[in-house]
Amino acid sequence: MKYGITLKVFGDYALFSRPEMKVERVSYDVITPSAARGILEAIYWKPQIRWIIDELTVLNPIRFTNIRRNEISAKVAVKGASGVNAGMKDPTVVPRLAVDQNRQQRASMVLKDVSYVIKAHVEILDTRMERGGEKIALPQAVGKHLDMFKRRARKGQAFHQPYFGCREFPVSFELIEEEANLPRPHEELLTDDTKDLGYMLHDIEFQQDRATKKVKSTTPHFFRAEMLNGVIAVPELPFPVAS
Amino acid sequence: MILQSLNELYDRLAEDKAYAISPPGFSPQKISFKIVIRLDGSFIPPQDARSPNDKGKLQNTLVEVPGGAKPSGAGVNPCFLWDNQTYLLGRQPEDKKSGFGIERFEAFRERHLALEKEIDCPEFSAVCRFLESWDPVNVETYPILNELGTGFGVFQIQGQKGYVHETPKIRNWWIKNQPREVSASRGQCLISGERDVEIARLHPKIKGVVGAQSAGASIVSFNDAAYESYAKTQSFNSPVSEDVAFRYGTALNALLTGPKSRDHRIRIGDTTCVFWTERQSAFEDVFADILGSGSHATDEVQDETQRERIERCLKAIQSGRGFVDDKAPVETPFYLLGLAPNAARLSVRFFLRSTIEELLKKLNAHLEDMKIVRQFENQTTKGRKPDPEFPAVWQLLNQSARVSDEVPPLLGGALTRAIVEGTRYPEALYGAVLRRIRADRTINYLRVAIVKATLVRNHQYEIPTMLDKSETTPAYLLGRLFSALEKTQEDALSGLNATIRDRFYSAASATPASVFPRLLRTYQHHLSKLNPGGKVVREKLVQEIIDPLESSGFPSQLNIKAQGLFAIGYYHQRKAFFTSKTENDES
Repeated sequence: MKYGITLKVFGDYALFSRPEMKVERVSYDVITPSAARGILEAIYWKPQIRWIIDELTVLNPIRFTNIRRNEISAKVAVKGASGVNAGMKDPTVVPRLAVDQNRQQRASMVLKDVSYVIKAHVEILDTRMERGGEKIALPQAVGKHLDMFKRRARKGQAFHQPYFGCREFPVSFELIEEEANLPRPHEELLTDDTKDLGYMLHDIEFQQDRATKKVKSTTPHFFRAEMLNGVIAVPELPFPVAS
Repeated sequence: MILQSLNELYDRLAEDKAYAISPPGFSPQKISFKIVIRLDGSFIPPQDARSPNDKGKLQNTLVEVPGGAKPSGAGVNPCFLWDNQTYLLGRQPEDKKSGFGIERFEAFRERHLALEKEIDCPEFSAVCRFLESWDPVNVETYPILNELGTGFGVFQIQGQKGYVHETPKIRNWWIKNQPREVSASRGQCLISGERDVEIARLHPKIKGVVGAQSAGASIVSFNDAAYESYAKTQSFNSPVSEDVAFRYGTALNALLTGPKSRDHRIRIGDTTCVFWTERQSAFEDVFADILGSGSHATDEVQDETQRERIERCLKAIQSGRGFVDDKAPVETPFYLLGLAPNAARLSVRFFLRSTIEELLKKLNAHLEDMKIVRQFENQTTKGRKPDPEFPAVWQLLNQSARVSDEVPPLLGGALTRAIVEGTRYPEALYGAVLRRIRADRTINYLRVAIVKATLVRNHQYEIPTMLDKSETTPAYLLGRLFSALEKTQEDALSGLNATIRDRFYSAASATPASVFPRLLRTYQHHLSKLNPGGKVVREKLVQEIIDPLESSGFPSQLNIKAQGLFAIGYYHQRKAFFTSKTENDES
């Protein structure tokens, strides 16, 4: 049995952009594992752990709506005399972008009234609690991190406001500690047949250059998502978690 | 799911000749003329390749030619065995500097002469001989070429069926020697799930979406830095294999612009909708007509069998029961995709995946919610069509604005989504319709139907389809009363330009307490002008309406929902005035 956590998350809107339609954004039908990981990491994360999503339960019927927003088409330069790098070295250099010259109106197809249950566990990458510290036994390390998460989640604490795919769509969350309190999906979803959701982003694999710490490559991985009575079982990640 | 369904659809369309789907490396192009030559390369005057359509207007012929679209841009880029007159014959366009035509003709000639040995086919050599001997000055001697100006042309050998580029040997050569772009990136395709495939750098352009650029717009494109992430450029941001990109693009283009596009595409507001069933079905054949024309579709369709099918489908919607189809069972998946242009890209307004059965149920629910007694049930003398029992979506949308191009852009998609998914109607439509009623004082069938549907579906009201005398909601009664007062005025003073409706409707529906006492005073004057019999009947009616109201008095304000009820009450009562007594008693 895995030791993990169960968290109910809900909000008014959500946008889990499909990579193929992320300019004129179209959301996946349900939350993706990487978006769920992002929510957990917003509540509690340390470099010693990685959150692994085991199961996602959809509670509300899948409903879409359309919105349009004014956005910008450019990014602030990293290199160059007025770029971010220069700004890091010299505080008088302020990287900037003229919003009115880079306006772009973009349409989005977003989910509304979403509510999910995330079941996840932690993978320990390093059993020390801090750099140079002593190693502790693995079960203890797991318990410690999970307890920290639970304490924070109970109080509603978060490192930053967790969000559903886009910063504009904040997440409300609630820790579920008793099996009996587990919410049931909406009747519409309890149909006893498997709903094919197509290929969905699983997560992105980063390869880092050990010496320079620079990211060498980023590879997206996809999995075939299938929902049965609102429950989506997330397969194991197709790449090693620890680097 | 969208691209995945289109990818699956490709196989079905490719098998069906009627869709004229081209294999990779070929594309259908509109051809307006053909250059006929003999095998020795000598020239016969060019011929028109257009044919008249059913209205007698000449139209270009779709011919499958080698290569994708004509390359865009200002450079010199000849096509293979087809092109416009500038390339084929060296025609000098009037607005270009001299030498423009010659330069392009020479590039076209060079390209073909260079391939002659490699292809080694008498038909191709004939084209080469022709290109060697042709002098662009000759263009002027053939007036037909002037008429055809900018169209595309192809080659044909005299006495042979088919065109030169259709010769098997040339075709095979083209298939083998296509310029293939070697992709810089390999990875997992997000549509098919295949691993380690070549990822498309650019995706096909989608043509035929109303309002988008005529050269086509992209669903998948990353045309600005802000859209890119993870240090990936262009479409490597969305890993789709080359093969799948071609397949979904071709399938979608076939639905939007192919020869069968009429059966797959309809326009709702600014949104272009395409729909398809997983396999060929009679429902697919009639859906465009039903969503596009509503129940008027039966009058508009000429084809006997098609009309019969539409009628059958409308009946199925009305009864909410299955639609029998020998080709496809009711469980056949049905897809509906709404696209709208946005800044050189396409945005998805809605995407529905359902089954025929499910959709029929949703349409039936929509019909039930909208159901209200019709204002014009029969063809009137003025040639006005009777009110449709099943109104088309655009008819409903038009009620929200003065003219159809003022309909708010997002409304079309939102309404269609509500209809086909069976969800709440857009509240904005309700508000807009009430505003229109207040602005032009027209309370017609379609407007009241929208108001009723929204109140029923979004706010769980129970509203009868026709006049209900037992209904005692103040707003409904006030609507009825207002209608009765107006009728009395009309009966008393005939030939009025403006009735109390024109002067007081908006005030009466929003702030009854400030208007009704005054209206009731004038009503007394109007009443005195009626004939004795009519007077008694009217007085009885007004008394009957006012009775349940009296205890609470006139409300000082009606909220937006109550204003809708007011409109319905008005409409019901007015309709009852114009329905003969006997009919009324029967019901």
